[in-house]
Amino acid sequence: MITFARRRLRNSLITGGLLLACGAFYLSYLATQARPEFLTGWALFILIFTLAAYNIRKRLSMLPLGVAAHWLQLHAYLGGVAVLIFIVHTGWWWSGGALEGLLYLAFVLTAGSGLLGLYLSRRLPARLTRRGEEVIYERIPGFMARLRSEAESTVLQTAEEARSSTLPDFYNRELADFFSGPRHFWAHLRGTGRPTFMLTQRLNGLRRYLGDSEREAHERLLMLVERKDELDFHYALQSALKWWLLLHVPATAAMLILSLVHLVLVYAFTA
Amino acid sequence: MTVITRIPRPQRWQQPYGPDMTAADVERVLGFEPFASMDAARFAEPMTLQGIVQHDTRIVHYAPGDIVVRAGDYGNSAFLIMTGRLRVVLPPGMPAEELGRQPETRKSAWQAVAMLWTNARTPEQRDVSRYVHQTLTRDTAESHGETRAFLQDVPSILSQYQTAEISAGEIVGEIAALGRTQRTATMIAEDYTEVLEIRWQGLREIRRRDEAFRKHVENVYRSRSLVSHLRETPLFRHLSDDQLNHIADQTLFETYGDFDWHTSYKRFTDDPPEVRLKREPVIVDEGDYADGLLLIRSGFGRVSQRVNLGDKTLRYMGRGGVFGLPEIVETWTSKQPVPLRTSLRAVGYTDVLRVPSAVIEEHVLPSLSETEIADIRDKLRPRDDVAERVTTVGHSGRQHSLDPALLETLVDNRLINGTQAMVINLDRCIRCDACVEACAVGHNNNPRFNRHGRRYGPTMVANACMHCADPVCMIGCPTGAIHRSDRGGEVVINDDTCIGCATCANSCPYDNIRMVDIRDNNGDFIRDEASAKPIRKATKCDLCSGLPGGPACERACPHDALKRIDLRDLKALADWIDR
Amino acid sequence: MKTEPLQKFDYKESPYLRPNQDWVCGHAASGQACPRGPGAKGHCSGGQQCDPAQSGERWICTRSDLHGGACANGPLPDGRCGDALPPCQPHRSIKARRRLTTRWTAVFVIGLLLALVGGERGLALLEPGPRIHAHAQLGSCDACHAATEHSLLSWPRLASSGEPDDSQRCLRCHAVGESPKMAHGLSARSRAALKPASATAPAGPAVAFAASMLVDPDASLECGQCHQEHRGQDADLTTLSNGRCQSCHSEQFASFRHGHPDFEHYPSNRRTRIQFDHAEHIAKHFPDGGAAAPQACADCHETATQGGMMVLRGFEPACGACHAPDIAGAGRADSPGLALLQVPGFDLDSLSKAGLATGAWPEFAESQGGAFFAALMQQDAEASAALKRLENADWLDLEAAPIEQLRDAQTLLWAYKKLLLDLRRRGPAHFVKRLQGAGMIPSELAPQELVRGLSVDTVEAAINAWFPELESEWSLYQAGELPASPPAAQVPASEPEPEESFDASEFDDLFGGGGDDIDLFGGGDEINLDALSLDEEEPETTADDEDTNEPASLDKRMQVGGWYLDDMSLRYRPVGHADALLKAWLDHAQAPAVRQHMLDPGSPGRCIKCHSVDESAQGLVVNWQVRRPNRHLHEFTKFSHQAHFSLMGEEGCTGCHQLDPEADYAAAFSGTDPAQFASNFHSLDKGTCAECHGSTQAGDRCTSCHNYHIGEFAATEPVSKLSLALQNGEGP
Repeated sequence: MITFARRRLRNSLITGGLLLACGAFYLSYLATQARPEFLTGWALFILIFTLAAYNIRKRLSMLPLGVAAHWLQLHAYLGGVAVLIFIVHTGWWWSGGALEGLLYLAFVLTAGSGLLGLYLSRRLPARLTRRGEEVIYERIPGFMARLRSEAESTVLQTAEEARSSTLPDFYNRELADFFSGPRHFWAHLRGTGRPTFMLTQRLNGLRRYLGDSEREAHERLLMLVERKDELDFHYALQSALKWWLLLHVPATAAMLILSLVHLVLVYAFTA
Repeated sequence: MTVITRIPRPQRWQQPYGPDMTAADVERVLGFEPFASMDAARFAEPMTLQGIVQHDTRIVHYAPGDIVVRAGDYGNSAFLIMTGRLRVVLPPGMPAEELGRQPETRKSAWQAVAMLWTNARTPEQRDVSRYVHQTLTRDTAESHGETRAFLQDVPSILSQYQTAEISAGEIVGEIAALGRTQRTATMIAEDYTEVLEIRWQGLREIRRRDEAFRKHVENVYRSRSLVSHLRETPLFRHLSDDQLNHIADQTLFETYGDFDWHTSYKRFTDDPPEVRLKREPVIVDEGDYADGLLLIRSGFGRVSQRVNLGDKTLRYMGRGGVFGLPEIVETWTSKQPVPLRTSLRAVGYTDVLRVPSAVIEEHVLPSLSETEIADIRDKLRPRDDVAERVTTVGHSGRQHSLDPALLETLVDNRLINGTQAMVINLDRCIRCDACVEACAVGHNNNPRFNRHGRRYGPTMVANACMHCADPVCMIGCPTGAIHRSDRGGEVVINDDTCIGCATCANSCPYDNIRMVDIRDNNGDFIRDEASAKPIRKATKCDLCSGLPGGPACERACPHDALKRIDLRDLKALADWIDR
Repeated sequence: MKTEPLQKFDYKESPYLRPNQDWVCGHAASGQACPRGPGAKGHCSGGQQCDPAQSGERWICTRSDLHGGACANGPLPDGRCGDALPPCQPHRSIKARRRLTTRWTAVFVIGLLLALVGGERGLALLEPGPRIHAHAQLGSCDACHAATEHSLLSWPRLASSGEPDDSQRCLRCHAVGESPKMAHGLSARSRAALKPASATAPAGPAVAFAASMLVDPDASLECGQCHQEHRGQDADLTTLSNGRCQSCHSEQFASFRHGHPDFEHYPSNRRTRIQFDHAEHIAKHFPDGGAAAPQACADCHETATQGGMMVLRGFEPACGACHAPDIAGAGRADSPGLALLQVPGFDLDSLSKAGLATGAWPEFAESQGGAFFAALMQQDAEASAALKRLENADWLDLEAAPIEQLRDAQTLLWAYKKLLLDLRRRGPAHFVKRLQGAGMIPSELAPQELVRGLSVDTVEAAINAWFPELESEWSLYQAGELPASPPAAQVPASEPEPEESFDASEFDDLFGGGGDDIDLFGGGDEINLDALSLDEEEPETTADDEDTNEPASLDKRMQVGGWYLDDMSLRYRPVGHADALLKAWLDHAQAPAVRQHMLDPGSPGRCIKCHSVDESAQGLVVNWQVRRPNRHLHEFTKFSHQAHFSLMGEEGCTGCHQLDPEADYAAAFSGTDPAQFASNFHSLDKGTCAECHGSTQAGDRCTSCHNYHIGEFAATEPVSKLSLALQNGEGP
């Protein structure tokens, strides 16, 4: 089993070699051909459809079409190549046509979201592993609801036993909203636990005003807040891991359509 | 709401093993040994001896050349020869193709693709019509299908291979059936033979209740498959038959833990690991004098070493494992008793063969070369890092050092049982559920596992069937719906015969079997005629045995995060963890 | 405080999670999804926990054990679920949402495209970029693109077939030679005719190899392949990379400095049209720069075509100073005029001795009839036959000649008189007619071209001077009554010179007076009068010697040029440079003999002295013009003199054009093949250009010296509204 580091090195070398070869050929081609856009254009066209084929592979999971991991490797590295070719093809900026503008935008969105996705896929999982319980994304809201009801019951219980409204007031003021759903999305994504930290601070500050009977409830609340925060954390990170595709895939669709139109136009108008 | 489909709830023995067992047949069978000499009184209702014969046995007729069982099959039944003769082919046995194995029925590529649109839109849809008239078609995966392979020229086979005769009155195959192990040898019918096939549920009942039968089984084992078992062990490979037989005679059988270990395991699952470890029966203890070489026949052994107050797991061994050799060699060479460096504990249920040291010194050690001796003794030398890490060399040839706590986790949770455990590296998994979706597509839009499970650090063993070496889930299945497939030996559930009793789901120590309420084409629950409650079925991973290309989950993972690993193979695990 | 995990593993707590299902129960968020879940179409299935079953008269809960088994409070009396959840609004699963978004995006994009194309500015929005200024006002796409004349749906077909021949639309405005889409706008044949640089196999660097695989020199190129439009208003549509040239011209070389072929006698590729020997002139004619000597090249040469090429300033400024008189014939030993008519001389005595009637004949006629004699006689069968026979005879000494020759001489003699008679009667045009009849002049040519300005009087005067009795003699001769011996009285008649006339008395003495004298004198008088009148006119004609009574010589008197009678011949004298009549004769006189005579550098006008004569398809052609720029000719190599003026050092033009004294310049002009030549100047050296033209300084792009579109073609003219209007019969 080849190690990831080794594989990364190998694939990078292969891609680099490929790029060098293409570059050399392209320069020679450039020297003699007035319209290198046709070469780069076709290369790009074939590339993006190859890249899109990754999606087909995912749908045909039941067939032995090679391991998805290999496809993703291909997808990632060829994606990089495609970006370079795109830059060469467009010369950094779009020519000014409305259609080409759209196509340009679609590609930038696709490539951009792709790179973002790659980054997220490589950074976030480790963070997810380090903190909190491993939960399934779709179930997080349910778990939050459970924590919330637990918290509410805890507060109500103490309110009755201790005849004090300190905790309930605090709950209504600060915690009710916190428990009512996913919170602090960006803070968790950025990796700063600040909002919850401050909340915990304030909750801790409450301790001195509490009677012994309330202390236990207080402890419990602290624990619940911590766990809710862990859920928020997982919700934020897993959301990021899921939703970047919501940009990548539609952008790809747009790009494929536009590139087809672009191809037809180019040939219909340059004979 | 459309009309609700209702069918009677299936019961054990509702679908007998042999549908055509007449009362006369039963009477006749009861006339044969060992049934004749059994004390029917010891068989309490409802499990009467008669009932067992009625429902858990069947009479099968073989023509000359018919293959009764093939070596490597996972046996779920034993055979009592009533009339005629069988021949058992002794190792090395016959080549697989000559045994005429039938290829598993896999979907063609096109059929597979077609699932994209033929798959049900609603969960757990079932075609109820399949549950009717199923008695004739059920259990076709068993060794006696309508399509039966046979060998053309028996005499030449007999001349060609080393065979042993099994004549009327003998019982064969019970070892494999009870040990839930593979058939050790191929059996073919020499002439027209009438065989009583007893499924292991029945055997178990009988063995529970009849002492004579239990002893008989043991003797049979010693006389028949012990030698072949020994021969399998590398250490004994170059010994003559006489020597092997001699060793076999001297070998002691020992059984530790309980056959239904999973129940106790579930009970104590909440205890801290060290407590559970203490509960594991010690086979031999660290510091004792190695009075014999231990061979594990079935089940698992934990090799541990004392560290401070606790015991640190160094290794674990399954069937075929050998324990204590280095010490014996050391003792033999240094001419002074050497204490065992490590302890061996029974994880759950363990069958052990103990070959006395004297026998080893007499027959085995002299046959070893200098270098072999040296290698073995080298194992004794204490590794300096033993205290913190467990080192091993992976198949990749790389040197790994594993976190012992990981091993502890695997053993404590009995995960070492898994031959196809779904291991997920959470540091790479982006939680995209591609594995789950791929799985669902392969199973009529129903996932067959959940992407959660026990974890140690970033290593998670997901709740997917591990296809255990010792599949305790099969214990107690009233209909044998859950069985090992002929070929791969993966544990599969025959949905047609599953009665939804949830025995397997409850006995699985790893929560890898899930009960589901089945639905009809409208997505409405299929209900029991009587109670109107939904009919349940047990479901689990079948390793995509019906699909081209094997387990879809592993192939569908884009991030190399998921792998099906044989956890008994520490090297493979190490390679993967260290990747 | 022990916290138990939120996520349980066993099948009761954790059923299968089904991310592949399209719909999720609305209550899932609160962690209590209903057992049945939403239908495949996404509708809520009611939210009840189970469908209670009726046993007897009471209802029992049938909730699955997987969902907690029978519920506590059980079904309602009417059989509905006891603790049913309120119907929810199922929401799509993540996967479903992604799929939906993708579909809508696709729909949106396609819609957007249709809207764009269907809309007001429709196709304009498909324009990939702004056009250059020159094309800005072309209006609709159809101007350049065929596709927009077809329906949208047919575009894919067009694209795949490569049918739309848009290049044709470029060519509507831009003409680029015989076969515009072939390399260099040349047909394969004409390309083969050139020295094919691409003939040799590609021997260049890998670059060239890769390229040569890609380019087929014989393939037809679309305009767009080099001229790329829609690259912005200021885009350059005509740049051409060196490599692109080399993709066909696979005789590879690295750069202009390294490997570009050396120049072979560049820029001259033929002898000069005007024979002007720079070396000789500089050495001989203006050694220490006389008044006429030029001070600088620019005195004779000037730029043309926006400074592109250098041309001669013209005759007057360049050559006139010295050569104008030359042409008029000043200081010539022989006659400066072109003799069209000459009286042949015969041995009259021998003729008369032989008893052959001659009639009167000027005694001093000595020629053989001049260059055109044979041609003029040609129509007269006898005469031309006679002429042939007499070719080698000396007409002025026929004493020993046999009688046949004498007869022939007589025939010629009378044929000549007939000619003069015809001239008198038909006018000067008859002269040309005769030549045309003889096929010496193209018959379509209008006579006046050749005899313009020859007045009837001049002819009459000539005839009278030579044959006063022509008419009478002719009639007698016709009647056969003419006596063989000529009347003696005739002799003086052939003495036009006045000084002779002073001796007339002597003659009188010799022959004694006679009745005929009067006629004779009369005739003589007339002649004298003629002669005298000429003399008298002289003072007015020449200003220089007004005050002297010395009669000026005929040459002097005829400096003005034109037709005149010179003793026994009728001559034309050129009026100056570019004399139309001489030019006409040189261009049209075809008979070889005559041509030789005409094209003799010494011949009157001395045209051929400078104007070289080329052998061409039309025969010999005189180069009247120096090399002139041809705006329709697109040459392969281009050079702008003006652009280089600022670079000239003190050596000036000679910095590049170095005189070659050794070159035998003149020799080339003895023949008529312009390709055989030796230039006055050394061929330009590539090195000279390469001093500046490298990759760094002045640049060494192929296209800075070479044109791609070559050949002679005129820009296509626009169809003018006016002409259309006229065609339609509506005046402007």
